[in-house]
Amino acid sequence: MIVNLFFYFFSFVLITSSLMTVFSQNSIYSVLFLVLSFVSSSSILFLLECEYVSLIFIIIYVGAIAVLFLFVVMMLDIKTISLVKDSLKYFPFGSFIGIAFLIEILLVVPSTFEAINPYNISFLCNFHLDWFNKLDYFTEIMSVGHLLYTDYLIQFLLSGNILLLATIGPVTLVLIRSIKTTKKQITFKQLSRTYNSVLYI
Amino acid sequence: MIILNLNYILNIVITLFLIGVLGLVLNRKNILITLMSIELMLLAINLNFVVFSIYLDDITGYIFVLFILTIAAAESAIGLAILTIYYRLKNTIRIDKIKNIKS
Repeated sequence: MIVNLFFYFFSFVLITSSLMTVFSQNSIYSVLFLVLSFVSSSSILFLLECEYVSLIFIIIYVGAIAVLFLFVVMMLDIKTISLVKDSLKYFPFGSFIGIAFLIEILLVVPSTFEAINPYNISFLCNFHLDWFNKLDYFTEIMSVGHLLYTDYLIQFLLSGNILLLATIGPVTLVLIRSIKTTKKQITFKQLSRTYNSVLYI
Repeated sequence: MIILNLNYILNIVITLFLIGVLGLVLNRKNILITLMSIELMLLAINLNFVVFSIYLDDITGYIFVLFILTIAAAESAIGLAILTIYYRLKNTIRIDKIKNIKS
């Protein structure tokens, strides 16, 4: 039961830190709360016993995306301005959209998944001992590799191309084109020099 | 082994997604918060895929998680590059100050 307590704790941390990501005034704090929400979601996945995806979450989200955000925040040097009055102008519209979606989906979800499992109300839902899993062991990353390199080969190559695009695109966007370091000889200018304008030494 | 109701995890994931939507709608500060809330929405989608992949005992959800992670990394890299160029040109990234993208 202590695993369930861990699950409740990490889900609370996840929701709280994502709320603080959206609503905090300083951008650096919001990036750090984003990192905290990534780490807590990854630990939720650890508790659900899918280790590969949770480690991939830590490597890609925390190691790549959040560090990228932090780098940009440090580089841009944004001033912290409190915009409470300006953001309260749009608060009724946004809260109406959010609460409407929340009520709709919270009404839909329990009614949809109620009929599948008869033990839905009890706490011991979906618990069984898988004897096939005990006898014939087959690791998770092996099955992911089997599926990824056979059935989803074309999608895998396409995602590699997307990563190549994401590597080349920012480099070509950020390059400063105005600086010319090389000196060129312009042939027309060279040939159109007249005898009169030549400087004698 | 965790013994838990599915609806609880789904409610948490939906709340996370709606926090991301709320951040997109309510945000008036800068584009960085917009990109971060898009990342939160993608995180919620990934958690949803993983939870259903465990519940239905099907490994295909993990593959989709990997593809969504690829798209999220590419999107954040290109978005932050565009943000850096815009800051260099206009010297601000406030949302309400942006009138035209073309310089």
